[in-house]
Amino acid sequence: MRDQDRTVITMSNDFQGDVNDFAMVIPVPSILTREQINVASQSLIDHLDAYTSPRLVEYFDDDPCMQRRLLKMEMLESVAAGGEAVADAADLGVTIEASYTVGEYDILILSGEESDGLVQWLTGNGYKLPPGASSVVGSYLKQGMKFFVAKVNLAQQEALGVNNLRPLQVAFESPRFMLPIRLGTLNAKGKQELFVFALTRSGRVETSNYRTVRMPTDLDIPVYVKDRFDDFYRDMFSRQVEAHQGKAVFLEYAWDMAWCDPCAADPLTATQLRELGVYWVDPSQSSRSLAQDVFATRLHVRYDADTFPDDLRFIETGDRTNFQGRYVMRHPWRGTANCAAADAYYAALEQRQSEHAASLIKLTGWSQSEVEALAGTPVRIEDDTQWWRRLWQR
Amino acid sequence: MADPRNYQIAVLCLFTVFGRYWLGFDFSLTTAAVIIAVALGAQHLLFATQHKSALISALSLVLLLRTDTLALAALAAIIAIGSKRWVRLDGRHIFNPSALALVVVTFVFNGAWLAPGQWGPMGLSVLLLAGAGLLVVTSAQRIDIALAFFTGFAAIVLLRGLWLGDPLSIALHQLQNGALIVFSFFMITDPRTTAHTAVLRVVQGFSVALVAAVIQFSFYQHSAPLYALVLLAPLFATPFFQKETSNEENRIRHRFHFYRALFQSGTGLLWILRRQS
Repeated sequence: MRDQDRTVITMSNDFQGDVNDFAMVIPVPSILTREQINVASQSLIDHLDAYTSPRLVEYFDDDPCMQRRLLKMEMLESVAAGGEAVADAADLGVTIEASYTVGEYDILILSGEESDGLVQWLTGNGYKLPPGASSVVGSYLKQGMKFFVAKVNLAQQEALGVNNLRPLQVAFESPRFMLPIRLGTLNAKGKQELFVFALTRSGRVETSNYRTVRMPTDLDIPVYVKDRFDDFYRDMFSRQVEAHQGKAVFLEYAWDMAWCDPCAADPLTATQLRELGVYWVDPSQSSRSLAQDVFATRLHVRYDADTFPDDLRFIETGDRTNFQGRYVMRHPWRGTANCAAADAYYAALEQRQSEHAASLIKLTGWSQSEVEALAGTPVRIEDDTQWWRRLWQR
Repeated sequence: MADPRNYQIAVLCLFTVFGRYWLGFDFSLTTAAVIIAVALGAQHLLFATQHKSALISALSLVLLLRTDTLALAALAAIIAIGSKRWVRLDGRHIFNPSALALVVVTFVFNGAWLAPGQWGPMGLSVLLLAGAGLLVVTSAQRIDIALAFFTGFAAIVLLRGLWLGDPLSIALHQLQNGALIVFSFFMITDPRTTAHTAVLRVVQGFSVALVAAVIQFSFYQHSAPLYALVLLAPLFATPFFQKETSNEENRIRHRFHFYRALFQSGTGLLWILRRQS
């Protein structure tokens, strides 16, 4: 959530492994009090993720001789948001500004004179810092930032009876509208995947220091992709990342929270939005529980230190144009059709299917044999380089 | 030599087309048409001459201003051209028309914004852009201020990176921004608002760079050079920067103008400061 300088960040992590190894080191712009920190329910993020996911839309062709239509939707399950999962601690010019236990987490707010001391302290206290962390930590310290360090308190976790690591939330005021990603790039093996869900008042959020690009949308895809929609979307995303040399941020969703048509999932209720930091909605007042004046943006970034050297900085635009990733599947008519119109329909259908198969190959980079295996039949791909073949009847 | 404004118009048109069709800049053709039509119309009504300069302002707005509201697009064009007529000191306009319009409209209205990220990291293409820009300013004979600003700003960014211990790639990333290049070669170089001697223009370029760096790194604002240019404009419009002082009387008058302008810039800066804190 971001409004003027008010910021609430909810960090959800897809950390896999022993919770003993889990630690989070995040630069924050100021010393946070206990009241500024909260543990949220993972279901909030899951709901927001579902609501903003790229959609698969299915249409069923009408009986070419009759009028009838059905509509159904499916959602794409996406990977949980990945924040930075870094670890560390030591001592020497390090000040522990505050220490809290919030939910299942032990949290420290640290400031330091210099990075080496802080890095030593973190390492000495059992946080594993990646090589090169010292200069990055130093850079953040010189920019006047504090460090928010969280570890799992096993006793608390057991007492609370929570198994998974719930998202941590921090609320603060700062003119900096940014996400520090540099520590994360040191730590990760290969590229990192990050989803940014922004809830704002005036409009869509975009990056100010990287290009924000819309995902291709409103595309027709063949019906046999249905069971592999997740693969389809992931491979298409990879192709898009490559096409922009890995240097773009992708817009997957931008919508006014007051409505959606149709919705991939119900919009979040006023109560849920408030949990996420949208302080200007009042659950007791909006009886229909649909929040006004909340604009949701979903950005998807795949990054590493080469392609995204600098932190992500954002601006809130005034753009309230709705956008969603929407992929359309048209099921052919399966019933009997005996009329003159049916002949034309089947001719057009064949043409359509081959076009959609070609576009599938182009979007995902799947091979023709792969697509044929999926379709269960040989796929005739229009070879447009020999366009003259389609000119005259033979 | 041919009118340098022809080059400027040609290069700006090229950027506009390239930006829209290759980089996917987010403006509709209607918005572009409205900005250009209103700017040319206003120029015709208010001055009846210099339509080329109005076209240059309009194209800069098309390239940099983002809005879904046609009224705001039109307002920006009116502010740009109107400021040349109504905001004057000693017979010259004070502000770079398009810079002022961009700052005012995006500052006051939520429905208009700047999109500094739209250019993406450009690498080689930045150099090409800069080269094309150089061609333009060489003909406009304002290369000194462009270079002073750009080298000044680049030096600050690089030194800051060094001080922070950041890898060079971050500083380079911050400099490889199309908006920065367009600003250096197409905005700050406006002959009407630049100083009358080369030395003063270099001073002008460096001061804009310094103020821009402060706004960007201490107040965390994007598009800082634009704000810096508009903030400092009253200062640069003073006779100290614009005309040779000939006698004592003039010198006193000029000093008065200088301090008044300093006061105006200071007030502007405070306004931004207050908004930030």
